[in-house]
Amino acid sequence: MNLWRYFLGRLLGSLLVLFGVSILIFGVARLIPGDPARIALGPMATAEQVEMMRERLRLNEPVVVQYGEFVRDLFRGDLGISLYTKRPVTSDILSTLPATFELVIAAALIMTLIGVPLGIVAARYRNSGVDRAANLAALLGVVTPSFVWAIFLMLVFAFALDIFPIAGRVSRGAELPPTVTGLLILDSAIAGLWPTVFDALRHIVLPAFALAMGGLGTAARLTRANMSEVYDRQYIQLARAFAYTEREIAYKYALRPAMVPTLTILGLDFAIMLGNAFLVEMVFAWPGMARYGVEVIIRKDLNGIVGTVLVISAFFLIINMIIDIVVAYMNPRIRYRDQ
Amino acid sequence: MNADPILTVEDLHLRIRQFEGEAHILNGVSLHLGAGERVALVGESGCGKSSTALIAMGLMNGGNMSIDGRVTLEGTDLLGLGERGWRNVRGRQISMVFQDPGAALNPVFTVGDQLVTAIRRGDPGTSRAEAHERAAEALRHVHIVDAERVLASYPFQLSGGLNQRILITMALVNRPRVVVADEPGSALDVTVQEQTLRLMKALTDEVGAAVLLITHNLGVVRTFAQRVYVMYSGTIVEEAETARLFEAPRHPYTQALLAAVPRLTGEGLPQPIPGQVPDYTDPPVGCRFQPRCPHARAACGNPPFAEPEPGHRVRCVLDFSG
Ligand SMILES: Nc1ncnc2c1ncn2[C@@H]1O[C@H](COP(=O)(O)OP(=O)(O)OP(=O)(O)O)[C@@H](O)[C@H]1O
Ligand code: SF4
Ligand SMILES: [Mg+2]
Repeated sequence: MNLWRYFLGRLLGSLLVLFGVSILIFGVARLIPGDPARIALGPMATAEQVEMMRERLRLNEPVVVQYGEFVRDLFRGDLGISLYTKRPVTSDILSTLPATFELVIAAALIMTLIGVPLGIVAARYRNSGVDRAANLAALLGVVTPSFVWAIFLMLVFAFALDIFPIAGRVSRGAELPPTVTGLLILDSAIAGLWPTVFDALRHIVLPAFALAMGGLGTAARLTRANMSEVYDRQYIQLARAFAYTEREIAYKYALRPAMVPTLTILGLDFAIMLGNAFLVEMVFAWPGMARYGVEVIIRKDLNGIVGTVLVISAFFLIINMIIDIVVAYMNPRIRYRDQ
Repeated sequence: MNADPILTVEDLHLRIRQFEGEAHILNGVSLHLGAGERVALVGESGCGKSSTALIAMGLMNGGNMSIDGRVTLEGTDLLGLGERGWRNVRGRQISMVFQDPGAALNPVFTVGDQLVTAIRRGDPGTSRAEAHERAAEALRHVHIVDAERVLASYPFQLSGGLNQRILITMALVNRPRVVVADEPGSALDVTVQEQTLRLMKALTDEVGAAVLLITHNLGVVRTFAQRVYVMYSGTIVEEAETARLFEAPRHPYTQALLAAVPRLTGEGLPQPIPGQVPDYTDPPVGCRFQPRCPHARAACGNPPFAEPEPGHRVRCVLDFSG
């Protein structure tokens, strides 16, 4: 019904944005100084070899033609050959992206499942000790960069206390499941490999927390701020005047209106995590997209850059769309806007 | 009527600690409502009407506030109630009609959800289906024909007048003994406001509920209330039966309020009251109306609440009844 129409509208919008991004990144990648063919072949290559490479990369054709061919290939799932790995960009990305996704999703879950309840409790007991403690913790989360958290958590919980593994995604020698989603924890659960699930969970805790801390702080502070504002509204007074319980006010009648503005920001935080994930991945030697993303830029690997940016943009847009739909579900004003 | 008051407020004080100092907002408010009686509480903006009502509903409880005095409902002391105690009172024995239907209903829940919850909290043990049936019934009772559609709607999809009717329905659906109505409908246009009061009169009559109507519009008081309290700067300055108050107002403030009411017939324009409600952190000593009173004189100290004729009381050292 209405939510569907809304969804279709948002989908169309997202595709348009993706189209725009693809043009932009395609152009920008070609503006970075240096000849990609020369960089790929190294200083020892002859001029003829470089010229042949330029032909192969279609670099001598007009940019518009290049773009047209790029789009045609894209629809076949072909992002071209990476000059860095010499393999198809698509398979490069497919082999590293799921690990990053897994990390980011875990961090987003931590951010939401800890940050939002923390904010609710702080708002419910405004100006109490709990509120002040939560505020301080949240502030600490926000002002400390994720890679500092990564190093700190690693030093304390992996080195000093030795509770969690230091690095990697899973222990060497663990039985690995067949790939279904690419998300190791999920795939292991599907295959029923519980020791692997447990092992992978232990590995993801520290990097996921390091990545989540900033968003967690934002989530708590935003939830608290928006809940406090809602608590001052007359409809909360009405709820009390009609003997609603404080618990149902907190978790239902105040939470839902407060989550409408909160979620939009959390969606952005979620997307920003993808960028921060690169640093956290470096610290924890997490086999995600970080190394690939950095290398393709340094080596001016045109196809690699365009492919990576497109995938990240698509991820960004998908997250945004999901958030928008959840917000629309929570806020009937959006759902019924065009009636 | 004065036999056994159902709601009594005695010597109510409200102090709020603020940045500028302590504000002594309510300064010994006393009033009572008889069973089924319609009483108005009038006064300018900021004189403490809403604060009085909210205390009676247990909704004034900031950490920076202190409340003294007594509020009893059918003999139960309300100020001593805890969270749980209040839940047995609110919505069932005493309920409230809020002023602004645009702000008093939760924008992200359907009218049905909110009405059903109000019914079920007021009458635990009612199933959702039963409560829904009762909600629809109650809406039809206030001449809302497509009750089911209204229940499935969100407040912003309905008109202000309709939402106001829903608020009144909500306040009366559990047949409370007392309804506090804080400027109902004053956010809406005049005709809707009149309809609102007429509906409230009919419904409260039916249920036998007493009403405390809060307003700063003396015009609506005449047709609605049987008795009137006039409030100024946190104290009751005059109390009388409605007809008597309009005929022979005794307090200079009441006289000024009446002169400020626009009249259809009669001479000249309404006269606004010069000056404003005093600062609560530093109120005038003695009679708080003194700075604005045309009759103020040296003898005006701290006048008692005298009763110059039965049922008509006034807090002023002089008697100006004509
Ligand atoms: N929670 C609060 N914190 C601080 N001051 C308050 C609070 N509630 C009320 N006041 C102050 O108390 C005074 C009386 O307010 P109240 O709302 O009771 O007046 P009112 O008679 O209902 O006015 P109106 O006609 O404008 O609704 C005002 O000066 C107001 O600023
Ligand atoms: S006591 Fe004095 S100042 Fe106060 S209302 Fe009466 S005449 Fe006016
Ligand atoms: Mg008020």
